[in-house]
Amino acid sequence: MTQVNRLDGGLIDRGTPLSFTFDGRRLDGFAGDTLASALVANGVRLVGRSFKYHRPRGILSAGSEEPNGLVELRSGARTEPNSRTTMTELHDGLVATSQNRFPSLGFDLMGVNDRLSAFLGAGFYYKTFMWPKAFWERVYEPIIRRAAGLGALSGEDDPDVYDRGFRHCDLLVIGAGPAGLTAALTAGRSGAEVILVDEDFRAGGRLLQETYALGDKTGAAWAETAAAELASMPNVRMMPRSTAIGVFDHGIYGVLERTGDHLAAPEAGKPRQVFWRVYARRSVLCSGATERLIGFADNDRPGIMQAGAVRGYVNRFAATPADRVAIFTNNDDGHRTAIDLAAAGVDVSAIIDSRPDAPQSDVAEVMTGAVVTGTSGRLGLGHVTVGLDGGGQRHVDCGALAVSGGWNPNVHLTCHHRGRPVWQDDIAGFVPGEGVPPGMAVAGAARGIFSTAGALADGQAQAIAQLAELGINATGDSLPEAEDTPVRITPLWHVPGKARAWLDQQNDVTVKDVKLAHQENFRAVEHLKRYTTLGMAGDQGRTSNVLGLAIMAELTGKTIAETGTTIYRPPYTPTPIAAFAGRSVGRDFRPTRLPPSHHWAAEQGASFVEAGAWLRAQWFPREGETHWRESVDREVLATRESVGVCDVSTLGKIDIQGTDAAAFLDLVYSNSFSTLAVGKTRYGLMLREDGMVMDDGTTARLGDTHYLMTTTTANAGSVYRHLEFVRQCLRPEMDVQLISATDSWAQYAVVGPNARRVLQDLVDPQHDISNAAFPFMACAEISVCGGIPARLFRISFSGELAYEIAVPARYGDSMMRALMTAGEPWNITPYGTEALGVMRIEKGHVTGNELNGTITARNLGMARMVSAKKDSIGAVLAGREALVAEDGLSLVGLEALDGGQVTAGAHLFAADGPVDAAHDQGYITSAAYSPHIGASIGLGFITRGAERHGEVIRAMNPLEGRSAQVRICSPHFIDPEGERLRG
Amino acid sequence: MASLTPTTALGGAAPFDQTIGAIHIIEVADPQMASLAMRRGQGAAFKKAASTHLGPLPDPGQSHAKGKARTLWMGPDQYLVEDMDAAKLASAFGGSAAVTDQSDAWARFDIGGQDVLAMLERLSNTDSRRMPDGAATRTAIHHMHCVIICRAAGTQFTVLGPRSSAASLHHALVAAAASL
Repeated sequence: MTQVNRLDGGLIDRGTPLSFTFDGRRLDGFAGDTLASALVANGVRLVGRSFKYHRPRGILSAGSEEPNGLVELRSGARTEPNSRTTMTELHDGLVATSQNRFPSLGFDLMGVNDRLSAFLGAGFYYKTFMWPKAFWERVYEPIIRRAAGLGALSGEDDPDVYDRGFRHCDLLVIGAGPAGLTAALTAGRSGAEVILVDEDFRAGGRLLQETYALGDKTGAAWAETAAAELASMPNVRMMPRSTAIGVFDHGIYGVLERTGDHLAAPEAGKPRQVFWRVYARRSVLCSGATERLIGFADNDRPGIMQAGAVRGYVNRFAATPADRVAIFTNNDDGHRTAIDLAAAGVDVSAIIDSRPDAPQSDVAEVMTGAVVTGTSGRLGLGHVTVGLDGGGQRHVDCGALAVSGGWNPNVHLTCHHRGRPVWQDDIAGFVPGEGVPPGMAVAGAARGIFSTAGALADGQAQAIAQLAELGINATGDSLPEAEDTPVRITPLWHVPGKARAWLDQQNDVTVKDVKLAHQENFRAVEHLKRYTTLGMAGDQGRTSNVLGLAIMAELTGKTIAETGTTIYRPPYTPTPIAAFAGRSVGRDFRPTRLPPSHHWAAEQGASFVEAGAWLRAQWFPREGETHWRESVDREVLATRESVGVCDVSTLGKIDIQGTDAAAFLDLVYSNSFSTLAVGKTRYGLMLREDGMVMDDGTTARLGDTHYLMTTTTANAGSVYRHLEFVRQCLRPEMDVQLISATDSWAQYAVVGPNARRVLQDLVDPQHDISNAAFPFMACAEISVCGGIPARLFRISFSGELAYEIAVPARYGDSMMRALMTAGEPWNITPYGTEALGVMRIEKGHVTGNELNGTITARNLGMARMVSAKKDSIGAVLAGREALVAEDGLSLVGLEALDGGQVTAGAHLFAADGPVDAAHDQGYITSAAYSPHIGASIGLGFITRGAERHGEVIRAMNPLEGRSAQVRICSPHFIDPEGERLRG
Repeated sequence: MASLTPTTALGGAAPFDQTIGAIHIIEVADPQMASLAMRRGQGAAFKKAASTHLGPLPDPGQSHAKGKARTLWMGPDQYLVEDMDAAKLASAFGGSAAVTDQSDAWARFDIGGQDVLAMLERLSNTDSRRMPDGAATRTAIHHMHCVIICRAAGTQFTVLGPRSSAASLHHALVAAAASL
């Protein structure tokens, strides 16, 4: 198809033709086109259906404020709904599909909503779907959601990658229009570090869309020269296709850069978009202004556009929306459109100027004091009805109507710290007021300076002032001569009438809806917004908000200044969640920590589990094993029978040094560590200030002033933080130094009756590790394998004779292999976290499951570990009345009867009687199948548990409908006297 | 008796070495590092030992090299010393400092090339463009606690990260280099 509406000239590259499809139709355009301009050039007016009433809609604007021209872009997994045609750079092979219509854009069955509009006004669903109540969620809401809405998601994973990044600058210039370009040039020439962001792919802003001369150049040529100079400066970074979406604390700006959106698909490995956090010492906001429409009957018909957008299509893209265009304006800007259209050879049917003092025009008839009262044409504008000054009507034929209701400065980013824009009568718009984010200045049209000369000068002046605050001396070079026409506007917000007049075209909000909100007393602007959804669509009401509140002001009899405006929040334009996520998706959502034996374990075919950030071996399946329990049972039995080995490097290790290290540990642990002999290890219980147990672990005394603390894997970070808090804030006078040693050491538990025999093969002969020389709870700095430094601890989590041997992490992989070789004669068996868990439950050792934040030392049967001889954190509050009550919970073992199952999370009830909260006696924290006992066992807390060993009770899980008979017993299922671990 | 052989933080026998576009990423196999923290009340002795063995102590964001050893500021009265044996450092400072060998705590990647600044700005909020030679700062890269050291302004940097997260850090470095 030929480009029927293509004109001569423009800033498109006719040497690079491109083809694309819209709803399956093949169309042509050129490099430099947007999808919107290419559709305009091809005479496509109907682009989509509206959100609620399924009204036919076309392209309204030429910028990021576009409410209507939304399509599903691309296909397959890359389909992106609600893409603004005006912001989509045309590329060869681009695929676009219209939205929210069935079966086709031209004939949409849901168009019936438009006929039912009387029932679908603002807030209709609050009133209509009240009964029956249960229907809301299951019937009404799904129906409404299906009928409303815009594009659909593909439902497939996004195949592209996104980056996040950080950039720093002295001056961030937002917007590369006339003000932004002079601001950036001024700052760049001063030597300051400058970042210039602009959402367009070509610098120039309105200079590209107007025909004004700047000195002896066209605006576009001047912009090109300016951009070239900026690009040549090493201290200036130009970021085209980049939108500043928000202003955050301390001069941090969010900037979305669309690095790959203008390509069919990004290059492999390259991001589609980058979300930048820009740290700017100062900024100049040169975001320009957005033209607003005027409310009149059926003002949403395809072909009705902003007058400034029409100039943009004609001048920049060499495309006219129709061969006959009418103008409706309340200010001089509409006349500019008429002049530019006429210059491009387009017939201007009439200029309908609502002002009684409208100027005359050389290019078309001016209807002074007239307003558009209606429009007609199926699926696109055919003619408009004009209400003439002094009465009477006229029909004006036109395929497009260019509307100018005045310009709203784009103050959005000035509001992100709750700044409140103020009304300025002479331009009939809001300009930045109090509360502009610290470090930000506003220049040009964004603060109501609408002339080109004014914008150029203001950009320069604001940049000089901002840099002066940084001590950077910038000078104002001479600026080109440019137009400097004043704003002449007589506000007209809407043309009164009975038919619906649209304000917010993306959310289908009409003048009537505002009247309804007023009638129902939702009169404050924030209430108006929420009741009618005015300004709540993806465009944040950029073309509608001021109209809505102006009409509300009319209705309440207040001024617009008194009525005020709603607050704008980030993001300025729709921003994909994927861009915020960056690379943190899927497996890379957070970093993974690998223990030193990871690669060896992977070779063994281990099954892995995430434990905090760690990836730990869960069990090591062997050939023929079909169920994880087989592997775990085997690992447990083999360990208890001979010897097993487990990577325990993940436990937190904190190196503590200082003359006050002992006193420090006495403070943070409930039990005493100053009495611990050098070369010994002790189990410690750490309480929170409120007396609950925070963590437990063993701490070894390596020297008089040197301890090594072990924490649970999960709490390594929080315990370290707690210790730093105590050191820095509670006891700054103490001589204590802390440093994490977790990653430094590879540590293996060597467990079972033959553990010593295996180690003796590796420990250098000068170190005696016999039972007599190295008894239970001993520790020593030794060497292994011919001089490799190592640490040996005789501690046991399983209840067996056990050691933990630590070597520098670089030897971790090799040490695991050496242990396996040395253990071969003893059938050494590697075990994972599951077997570790089974053995500690069998032994009755507590872990994170039990230390759940509501448990005291007394609940654990460790009341005596809270030393009364010294002060320690938590000791006082652990003595609170309710915490020392006789009928408190105490730790017990539980054994399932009759082949039943103990399940963690189940609650405990008497053998008979009601099962309800009032009769709840306790709960199960850990459960496992014990191959040693041959039954399902667990640990839990129950009232007066210590006195109730032998009692049969019920473990109930009403949520899952499970119940089991269990017998209360000692938590020590094996070797309660501890003979094995001392052997 | 068995003998133990070291592996790099990434788990290889030899360090990882790759060029991606204009970026060269190399894993440094056996970094030598030790933490150095001043003992409370030992300021004078600590500073004296420092000036003899390490030179002037660096300010925040800085490091200072004396001979082979480089001292990095890590926190108030806390430093990380590169390329000096921990035992030697401990004996040099005697009772005036707590010294802990950190050689195995870190994975070290040296990155260089003309695009290295563009790569770093996708990883860390550090203003690496303004880092002079020897600048060193703690930072977070993809939630990992890291240290960035500038070896040659604009072109050559070291990234230190937790050894257990070496694979994740390396993945982040490679992805950032490939996305340029």
